[in-house]
Amino acid sequence: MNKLSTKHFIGLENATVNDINLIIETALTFREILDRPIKKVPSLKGLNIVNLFFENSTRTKLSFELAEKRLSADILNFSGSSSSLNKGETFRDTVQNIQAMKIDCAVMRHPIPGACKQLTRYIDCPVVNAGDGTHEHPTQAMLDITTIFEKFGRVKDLKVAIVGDILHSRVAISNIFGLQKLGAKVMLCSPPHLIPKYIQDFNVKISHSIDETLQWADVVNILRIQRERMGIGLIPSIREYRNLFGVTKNRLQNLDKELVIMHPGPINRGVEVDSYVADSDQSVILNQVLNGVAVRMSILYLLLGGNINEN
Amino acid sequence: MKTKIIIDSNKKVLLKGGKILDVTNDQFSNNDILIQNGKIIEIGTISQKKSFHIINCKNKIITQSFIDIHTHLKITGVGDQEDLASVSNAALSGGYSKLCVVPEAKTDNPELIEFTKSLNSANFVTLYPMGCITKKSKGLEISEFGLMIEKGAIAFSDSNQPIMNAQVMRYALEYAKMFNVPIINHPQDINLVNNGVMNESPVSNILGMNGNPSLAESTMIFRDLKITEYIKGKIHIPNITSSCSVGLIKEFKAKKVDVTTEVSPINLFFTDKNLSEYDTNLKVSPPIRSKNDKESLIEGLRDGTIDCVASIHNPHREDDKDKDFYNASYGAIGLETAFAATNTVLCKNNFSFKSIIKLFSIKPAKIMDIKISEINVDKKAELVIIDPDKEWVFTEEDIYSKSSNTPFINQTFKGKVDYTINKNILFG
Repeated sequence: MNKLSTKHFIGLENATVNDINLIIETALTFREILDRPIKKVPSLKGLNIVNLFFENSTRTKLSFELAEKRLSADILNFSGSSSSLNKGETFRDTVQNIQAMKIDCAVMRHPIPGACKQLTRYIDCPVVNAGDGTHEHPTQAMLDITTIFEKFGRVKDLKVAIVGDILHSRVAISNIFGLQKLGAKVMLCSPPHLIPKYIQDFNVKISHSIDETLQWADVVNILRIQRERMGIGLIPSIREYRNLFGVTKNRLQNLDKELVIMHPGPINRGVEVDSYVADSDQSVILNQVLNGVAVRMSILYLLLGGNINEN
Repeated sequence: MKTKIIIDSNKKVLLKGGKILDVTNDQFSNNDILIQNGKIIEIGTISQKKSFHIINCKNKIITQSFIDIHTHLKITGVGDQEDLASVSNAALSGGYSKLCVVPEAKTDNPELIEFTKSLNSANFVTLYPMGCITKKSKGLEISEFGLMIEKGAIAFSDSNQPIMNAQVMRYALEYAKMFNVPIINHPQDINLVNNGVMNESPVSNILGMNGNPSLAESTMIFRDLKITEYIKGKIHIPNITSSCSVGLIKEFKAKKVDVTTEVSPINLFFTDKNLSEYDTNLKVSPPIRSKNDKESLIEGLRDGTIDCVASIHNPHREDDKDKDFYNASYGAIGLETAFAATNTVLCKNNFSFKSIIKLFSIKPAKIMDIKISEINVDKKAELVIIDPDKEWVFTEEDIYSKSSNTPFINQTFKGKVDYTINKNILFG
């Protein structure tokens, strides 16, 4: 029986290459199951998974829920906004109460970096990080990497560019860790004030020119420009951002090569990416969504030790 | 009074017998220059013809016309306020053919940059617009640098509004790195200015006026230099006035921080003691400071800490200046007097003529990345003819701005711009 080398899945910073490869391989097996008429397997039958969402999420939460259901796990949903936290209960009390109900695994999204690591100190069961502030979003990175692997059959030596607000992105950081472990080269493309100051230590290339970036890359992962960042002085305007960093129809057509286009969603059409680009044959944006379910099935399965062929 | 002559495209203008200083190669030469249609068509010993318009340049210096990196246009064109013609004439009379225009608070968008650039087609001097650093110059959100650069913005400034929020300053300096243009922040901490209207000094005590300490300037400059150093940005510090500011900039230049700075002729010419008559024409921001500060500024120019001289031309209607000292507006016109006033002071301090001229052309051009034509055949004729030794008294007659807010009336200057040649016109 295959298992991850760690009890929890908190981030890719310390993940082993073996674990990452195992997640991809298992995810691709689950992808096949998702293509069957009956998409459900009994791997996690009888196990209880709690989804602790202390921050709003739509697609990550849906993706985890679907993955858990496809694995036949029982699900408990918890939302931070409607919880006893509002009545003054501490984070620690909240999660220990949930643990007391004999939970087998916790999936958590939290606005504060490091919250998932803290959670591992409060409860005994495996913890899966569904995004902790601006720290990591390892399941998103794994679905991105799996999509790249699916497209190219390898990750090694590929040139992957990540475009957008790197400073506030958990997706970018997890992707850098994961991609580099598998031998890919990473370029970050962003305005200088939206790139963390000491990012050079991660051994990534940095560009402030979208044209240079597109010319360099095999794959471009376009991050959403968070509209809430407008109006606080970070991005002067949508038209300015699109002009400087938008992956536009013109820019794509001016390239003398094919690029793989990725986006973690939700897309601001006409801002960071044009509809023409997002909907083109070069786009794998919807594959990412499907792979998201498969990758989350893979991670839960490998943490909780089910049997894929069990019926 | 000088006049503007528009030269017919067939007419040739001969500059006869002058000494040429080409600041692009730092060379003096003795030659005649023949100009036609805005271009130099011949250099050498040129015999006079009747059809030529001849300017006798004996004992005169011919060099490239000047670039001002700090002009407030204020061209509303309403009533007694400035218009394009008045500011152009003021510039040409002082030897300037290129003006870097400090933005008004509304110039935070590419549309207004484009508008300012469009004025060049009908103007005798060339305007280089700057855009606002922050939207409406409120100091809160950075404006559309990229789109403004595309339309011709050369730098970003919030004019006389200092950016008090250091994080906004950091964002602006980082964002501007993409375009390699300087950020220009008014060097005043408004809390430390504390309603001061003149230099905080023994003189302010005697005059009973609220003092603005040089600390207000040096604190802001230190903050901005530290941010620039940290993020490896590019900064231009406008209008420094104090000894401490010179010292700070020298220190950071030695550390290879990308900083440039400028000084105003008013701060080289006057000291706070000149305020004894409460002349509001001497009310400027930052203020005129002590004798010691003035001497440091001169030494800063000598050792290269201060890069250039800027006119800080800032016209005001008479009604806005003819008030009590507290309520009068800040600023003075400067295009007409900048060269003569500076030359007067620096000659006394044994600066070479060449080193003074460079403070007005090649040095400011470098800061703003503006190209200066060589003085050579087929190059544009953008020239000034200067009488370097002429002693003269500046009077109301010598003002070409519609405003007359200058402290230099009745001052004796050494050195005078006789003619400015630009875009097919001869002003002199």
